Amino acid sequence: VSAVLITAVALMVPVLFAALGELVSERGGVLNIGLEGMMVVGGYTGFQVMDRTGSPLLAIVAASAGGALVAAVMAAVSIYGRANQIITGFALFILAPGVVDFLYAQQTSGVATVPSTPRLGTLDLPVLSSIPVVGRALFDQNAFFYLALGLAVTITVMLRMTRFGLELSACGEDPAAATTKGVRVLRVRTIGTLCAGALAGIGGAALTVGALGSYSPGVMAGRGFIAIAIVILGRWRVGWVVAAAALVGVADSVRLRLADTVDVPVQLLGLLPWLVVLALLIVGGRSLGRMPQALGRDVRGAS
Amino acid sequence: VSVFEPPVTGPSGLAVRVRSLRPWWPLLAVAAAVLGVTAALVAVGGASPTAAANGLIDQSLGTRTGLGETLLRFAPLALIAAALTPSLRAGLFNIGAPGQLGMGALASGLVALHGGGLPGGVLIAVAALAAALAGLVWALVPALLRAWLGVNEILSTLVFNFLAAGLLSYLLGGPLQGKGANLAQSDTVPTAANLPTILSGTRAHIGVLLAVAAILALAVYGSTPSGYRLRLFSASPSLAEQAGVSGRRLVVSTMLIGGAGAGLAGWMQVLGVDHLVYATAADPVGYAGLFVALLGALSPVGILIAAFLLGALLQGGNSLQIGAGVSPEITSAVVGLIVLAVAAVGGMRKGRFAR
Repeated sequence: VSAVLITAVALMVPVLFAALGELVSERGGVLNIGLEGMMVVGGYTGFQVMDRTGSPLLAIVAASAGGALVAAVMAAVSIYGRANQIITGFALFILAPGVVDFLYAQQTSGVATVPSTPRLGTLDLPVLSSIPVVGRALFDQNAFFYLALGLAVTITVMLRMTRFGLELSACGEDPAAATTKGVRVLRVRTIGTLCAGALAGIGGAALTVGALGSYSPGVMAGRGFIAIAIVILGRWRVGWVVAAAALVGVADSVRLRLADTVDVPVQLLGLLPWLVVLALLIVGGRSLGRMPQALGRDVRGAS
Repeated sequence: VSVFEPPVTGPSGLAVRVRSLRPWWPLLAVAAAVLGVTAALVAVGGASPTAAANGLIDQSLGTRTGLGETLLRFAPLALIAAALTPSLRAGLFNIGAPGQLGMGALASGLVALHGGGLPGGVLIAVAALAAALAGLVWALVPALLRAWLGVNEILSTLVFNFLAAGLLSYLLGGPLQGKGANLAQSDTVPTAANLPTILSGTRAHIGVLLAVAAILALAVYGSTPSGYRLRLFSASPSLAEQAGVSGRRLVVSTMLIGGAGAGLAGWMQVLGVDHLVYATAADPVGYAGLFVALLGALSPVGILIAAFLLGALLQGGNSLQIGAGVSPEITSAVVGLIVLAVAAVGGMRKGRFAR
């Protein structure tokens, strides 16, 4: 059980970053389907910087900048340009990995070995990590995990207790009313979207820099979309989003565990997390009551 | 009418004429931007943009073979786009075509491999039926979930894409793997099951005619009673319900049409192009078909043009690797750019915010 939990928490981290970002963006009324593309760009730039400088800190900065760059395009086109959010996000989901994979292919053509870096080591918190069962899962993980938890707390405080958090929610619920109250809706939504891009970028780096120590095309494997499902399932609340991400992490970890112990083809086991996501969508789909009312709509209420 | 709406002047006013011209300048600006970014990307990749452009046009439209290959790519794109349009018009963002195409490819491949005794024409027809049915079944669950439980169709169809991809890679890498194959692929289907070509010396097959027929059907559908119900529903679901239109039935039926069309595109891929089933049969046609529908603004003529242009782009982009040293991944970036441009133009047509 302990081993399953350790892996589950490790697997949860990239998705959790992206889901927290999507949560911030959606609370402001911006449905960001391009999350996967932002993760890919963050994962790629983060790994490139890690490979060249060896500094995880610089890698995280680069990854968040890369993700935010894609988010800036999203904001320019869909917030200021009033384009349909879903189509814009979907375009970025194709465009951003396309650009990254193109650069990757040009970079690696004729190269014998693709670069790799050592995986990020874990930070063992003494005493706490010796708590039975959950100790090592929660207190002996790499830096990305602690960063994600810190961000979850920060975002909770930001949404509940700061002026910006309240303005953001107002933009997500009723942008027209927010405008009349003097909230600069376009700007607030843009900041929310940029946060989503930066967090998704860090999520990508959590996978490539933190967990794998390499980048290859297709490495995100739909994690951006799982993160969006997690936000729906988590009812647009930070605590529930963390819980939902943990649940998906456990499913993924159990899949890896089963692959070692049960004689089932690995491709079939790969379906398991998706079946869990589908089941969660069916359960969570019934409770859309807390969805931001203006999600996917622009300031005038058009989609 | 919202207070933000700009004032509307009479039909003869200059404002109206300027407004009717307005859709064109953003289109040009955006097309220039797409070309510029693509050229920059090619240059960053260390190749010559002009050589790449020449190669692309030459390989897709310049020769008879190239034109045939473009038509070969046109067919599934146009078919998927035409079949997806009703559900998109109903406001459903149905992205399940890749999975439905994969299941259609699998079904038609199985029929072709095991229907040995049947004469060629019958075999092809049965395979088509099986493919359409398989695509339809793969669309059924997301459709029902959306209609009855309100489950987000973007995510549910996406889940079914991943489920189909996993299932195909398992079956074609295991129980159904071809003899001596290293990749996840089936045996080669018998030649009796190959689709007849329509243009001698090329690979363009009867699927091209089917795709054109689907576009014509879409054009006719717009003026049938059910096409009218769909228009009513997309304008105002609540009004449509009052007029006796069942939203649930509309959601399910339009998504099933999309599934059947994508399944048939899989049939074309297997019997017309690959002559065996690859686990990756849906790349990149599955998502590109959705883009064609968006690019063509959900109109039959628009889809016809968009499918042809995107077909040329996919064909030309694939041949760039040899000619100009540009990796084929560039096509996916360009396709993404184009869709982004379409979204941007759509936004510009809504007009600017009054501040």
